Amino acid sequence: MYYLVLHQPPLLAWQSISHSVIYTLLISLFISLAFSVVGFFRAWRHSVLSEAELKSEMMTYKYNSLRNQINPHFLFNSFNVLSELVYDDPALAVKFIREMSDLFRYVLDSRDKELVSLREEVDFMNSYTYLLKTRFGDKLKLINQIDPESDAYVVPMTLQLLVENAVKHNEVSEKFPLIVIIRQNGDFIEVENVRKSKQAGEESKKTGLRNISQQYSFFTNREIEVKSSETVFLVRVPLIQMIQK
Amino acid sequence: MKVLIIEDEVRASNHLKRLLKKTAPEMDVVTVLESVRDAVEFLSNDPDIGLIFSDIQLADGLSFEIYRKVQIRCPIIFTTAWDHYAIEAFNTNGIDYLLKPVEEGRLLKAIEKTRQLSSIPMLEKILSLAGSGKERNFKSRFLVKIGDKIKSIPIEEITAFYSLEKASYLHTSGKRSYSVDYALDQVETMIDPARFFRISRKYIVSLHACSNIIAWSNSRLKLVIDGIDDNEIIVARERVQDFREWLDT
Repeated sequence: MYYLVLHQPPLLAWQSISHSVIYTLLISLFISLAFSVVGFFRAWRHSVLSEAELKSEMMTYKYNSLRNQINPHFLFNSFNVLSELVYDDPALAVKFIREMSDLFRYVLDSRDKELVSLREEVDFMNSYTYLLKTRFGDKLKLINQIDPESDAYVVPMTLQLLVENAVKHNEVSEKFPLIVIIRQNGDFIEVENVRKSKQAGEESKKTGLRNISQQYSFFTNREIEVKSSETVFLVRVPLIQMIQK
Repeated sequence: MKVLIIEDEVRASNHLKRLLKKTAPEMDVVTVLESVRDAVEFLSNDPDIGLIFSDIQLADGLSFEIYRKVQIRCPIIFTTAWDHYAIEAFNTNGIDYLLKPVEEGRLLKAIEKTRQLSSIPMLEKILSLAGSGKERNFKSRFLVKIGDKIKSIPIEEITAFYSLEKASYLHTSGKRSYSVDYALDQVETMIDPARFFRISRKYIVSLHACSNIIAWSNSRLKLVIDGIDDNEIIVARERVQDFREWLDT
């Protein structure tokens, strides 16, 4: 009895080894399959989630930018000035209304756009600054050095937001006129102004800048840069080049 | 009536002038100022102004800053594009609040209100009570911390409030100073103006601490308050007149 058990015939031993190898292989195959299924499922779920996150971030951005653009102060101050222009300079009033319509048409049109050509954006910014210039006169100087033939793209309303911020946070007066320079520097747009901070103005929540930074991160790895010193405030926005489809 | 317009957009002030000319020709617009800075400078000389039209967002800040810095004796009609400041406006001498674009009928109503108010001889009194955020219920004691202990100081014991390196303190007749949690601007609104007077940016003094007053250079006055080791407790020049009147009442 003992003899038989301890000394099995060689064929039987080989059979048992090959069986156990097969079992091991099967088990490990099953385990790895299970892992890869789980891994795959996780990755899939993650991609769905991040896509949803991306979408919701975009929506938030668009909502905020829309809300920011139809800034009630801007709107009603413009109407107020308009009601004076109607008496004082009817021809200018007509021009003012036209620029205002262009401006709001652009705001509404760009709602469903993620990027716009720099040329369109500059046109829009020109309408915007026209309205501001009509209100502030020589207290506000805007120097636009952007190449009108550029074929780069930007997130809609970027330039307008930066100009608006400059006006919001700095003194705009006869004693201290505000000068804003908008220029192209390589594949960046730079908006720069000399600082003369308001004593107690609207608190800066930086939501505007944060919003556009976020929006740019969908399209480029280059980040929006803010250089702020005692005297100068400079924002650098990356230009986005479209690859031919 | 002499009128001051505080507004940073020329066309906006022109519009208001045009409407005033039409609706209230007796209003004489003395000047238009564009900034907090200019308005403070102009108003601290106590000009003869019967009514102020004041925008809220000015070239260099919010106009409420002006009314915190200088005492105004006349009513203010605020004009603004957007109305989330209404409540703060009525903490000053604000009697009305016009939304831009200003409407003629609405402007006329505001002016009517001013006219009615100015026919009341007590106007100035009412404004000085209702305006500038002064409440009728003044604080009768201040809570102070000494290390981990808390103490309550009755108002009668306080000889002065002062600010030093961005903190504020109260000083007692026992010649001790304690730090308080409020800025001097806040303290000023909490205490009885009959008992205390803001002599400068740095000091609010109590009536019974004012026993030692010395005439100083530049027609200013200097005070000595027991226990405060400061040689420069000076009544600001623009406040000297009011200070004399306050002592005399």
